Amino acid sequence: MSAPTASPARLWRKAALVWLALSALLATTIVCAYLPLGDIKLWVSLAIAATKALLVAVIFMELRDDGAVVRLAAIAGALWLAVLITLVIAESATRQHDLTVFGQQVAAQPGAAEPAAPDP
Amino acid sequence: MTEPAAVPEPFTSFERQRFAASFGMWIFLATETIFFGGLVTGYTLYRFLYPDAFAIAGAHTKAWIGSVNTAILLTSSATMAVAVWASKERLKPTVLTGLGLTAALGLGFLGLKAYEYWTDISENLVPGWPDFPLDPPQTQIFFSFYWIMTGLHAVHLTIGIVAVAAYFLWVRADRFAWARSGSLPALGLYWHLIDVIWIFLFPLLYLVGR
Repeated sequence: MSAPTASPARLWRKAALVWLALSALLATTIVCAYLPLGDIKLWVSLAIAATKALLVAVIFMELRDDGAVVRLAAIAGALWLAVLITLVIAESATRQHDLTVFGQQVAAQPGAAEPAAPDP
Repeated sequence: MTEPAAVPEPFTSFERQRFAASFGMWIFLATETIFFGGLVTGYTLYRFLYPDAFAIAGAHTKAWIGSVNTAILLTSSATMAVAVWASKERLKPTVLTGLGLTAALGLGFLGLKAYEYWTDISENLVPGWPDFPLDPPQTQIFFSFYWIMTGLHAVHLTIGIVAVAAYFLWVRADRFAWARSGSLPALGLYWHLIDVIWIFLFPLLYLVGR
C-alpha cells in the first residue's frame, strides 16, 4: 500500500477554496437579482451560473486532469443543448403568422401584427 | 484490507477501468443535460413569449429557500469531491466523512424542499387549481415548469443520496477496491451534475421578477 501523497487537511483546504469561490458567486447572483439592472439581469445571472458550473466541472469533476476524450464528451452535452435552445428560439422568433387556436386568435407572435378581436 | 481480484475484469488494469468509468459517466451526464435541457428549452421559449407573466410568477417562489438549498448543494459538492480525492489517497476515514456529509446535506436539501412544496401548496401555487392566485393565466406556465423541474431534480437527488449511502456502507466494509476502482469517481460525477443542474435552475426559478 503506497503512502498517501496528500493529507486530509490539504484535501479539505482545496475543496474549501473552491467552496469559497462558489459561495461568493452565489452571494453575488442573489444580490444582483435585487438590483435595478434592467435588461441584462438575466444574462448576468446566467453568466454567474455558468462560472459556478465551470468551477464545479473543472475542479470538482476533474475535467482539468482528464484527457481530451473525456472533455469532448462533457462539451458535447452543453453543445447540443445550445443547438436545441438556439433552433427553438430562432424558429419561434421568426414566425410570420399569428397563433390561431380553434379559429380564434389567442396570441400575437413577437414582431407580428396585433391579433384581431376573437369572433363572437 | 482484503481486496478482490487485482484485475478488474474485463479491463486490463484499474487505470483503464477508471478512464472507462469517467468517459462513460460523462456521456451519460451529457444525456442528462439534454434530458433537463428539454425542460430548460421549454422554459426559455415560454419566458420569451410571456416575459411579464414569468416576472409576476417568479416573484412568488421562496428566494430564501432556494438560496439556502443552493448553498447546501454547493457544500455537498465540496464534501463529495473530498471523498473522491481521499479515495485515491486511500484515506478511508476521510472518504467516509465526505460521503456521510454529502448524504446528510442531500437529505437537508430534500427536507427544505418538502417544506417549500408544502408552503406552495398552501398558497395554491399549483397550475390548474381553481384557487390559483395569480394573473395572467400564463403565470401557471411558469409554475408548471417550477414543479416539474424541481420535482425531476429531487428525484435525481434522491437516487444520488441512496447511491452515496450505499457506497458509504460498501467502502466501510471494504467490499470492493474503492481506492483503485472507477466507481467512486463516477458516483462523484453524477452528484456534481445534480449540483450543476440546480446551479442553473436556481436563477431561472428563484431570481426572476425580483
